[in-house]
Amino acid sequence: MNRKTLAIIVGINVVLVTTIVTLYFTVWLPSSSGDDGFLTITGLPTEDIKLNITQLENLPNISREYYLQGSETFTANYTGVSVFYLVTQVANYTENITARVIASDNFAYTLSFDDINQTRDIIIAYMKNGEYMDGKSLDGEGPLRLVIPQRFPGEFNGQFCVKFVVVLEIIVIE
Amino acid sequence: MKRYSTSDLIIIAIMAAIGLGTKQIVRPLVSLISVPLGIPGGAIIGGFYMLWLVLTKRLAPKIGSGFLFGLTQALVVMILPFGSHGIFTIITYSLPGLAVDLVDLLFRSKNNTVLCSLVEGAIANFVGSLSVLILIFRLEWRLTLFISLIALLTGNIGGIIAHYIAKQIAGMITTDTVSEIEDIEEELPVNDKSSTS
Repeated sequence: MNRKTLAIIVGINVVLVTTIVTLYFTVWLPSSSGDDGFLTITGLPTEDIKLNITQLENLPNISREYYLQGSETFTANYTGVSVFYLVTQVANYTENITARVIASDNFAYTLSFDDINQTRDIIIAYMKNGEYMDGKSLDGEGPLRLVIPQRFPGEFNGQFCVKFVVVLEIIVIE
Repeated sequence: MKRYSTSDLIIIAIMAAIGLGTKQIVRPLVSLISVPLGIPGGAIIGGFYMLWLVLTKRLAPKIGSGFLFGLTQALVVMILPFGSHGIFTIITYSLPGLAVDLVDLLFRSKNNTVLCSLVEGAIANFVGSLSVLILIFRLEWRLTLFISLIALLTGNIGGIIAHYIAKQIAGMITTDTVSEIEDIEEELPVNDKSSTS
């Protein structure tokens, strides 16, 4: 290999490595750490409330083991904010509503006020086993996920635990 | 266009098989790097995988040998329980081969240089990764760009390695050599005992 060829090869690889390292810290890490996760609370009489993960972390959180049964059955420690807290303390509704949790792919699950009132452990999780969750683009389940504990043994609760949550819609019952 | 000899087809089949077989062995090793950094192992391992494609092109330098390599692997992968993307497998495995064939045509008489192998490896891995990202994962463009650049980096390294492996073994197992051996065997006198009895 002559010097010119060697210089070309080294040059190409130096440019590639530099660009990759730059993109790793500016694009890849933020997207995989969950910084892009937002929860928008809609259906309010005023403006929508948009909370990022840092803001969610500053709210009172619930962290405990959840058993999810479904196509994948597993136990994991999820950390997040109670839907009851979001509805009553952030959105300021205390009755006559249903809360619809919507994913980025428009999959959704609706919870009645009784559901979230009786089971305060229904959470919008932002951490799983102490780590931020990857988004859909990285084959993850986050950055935010609705986690509902089993209401009775053997319940296939995994199907209700909406992945890639982006919106919490408050629907007022007339 | 030269016709494919049996030796060409054997080399393509062997390389395709080695590529698939070793991929499963190298994958856990690559995960030692990719898991802690949280980056996709597929783009990294692709460089090693495309090494065999470039090597095939060096050892069986016929038009379309890259495409045949990819197609062979695609058909095998589709019936295996791992690594298959369904019908998309045909596209994601064949496109890199096709890309290598095109690059080889562009380099023409200079296709035995290290630069040609480098470009072939890089383009093959880039095309392979990009096709998977677009058809299967459908990531955001910035993430697609990041993974594609990793594919270019590891692909060009794989291409360089393939070039030097080819240089080392070219004298031993190129199709020309195999054909020469076949010719020599044909010219050998046949020991027909019946004629002496």
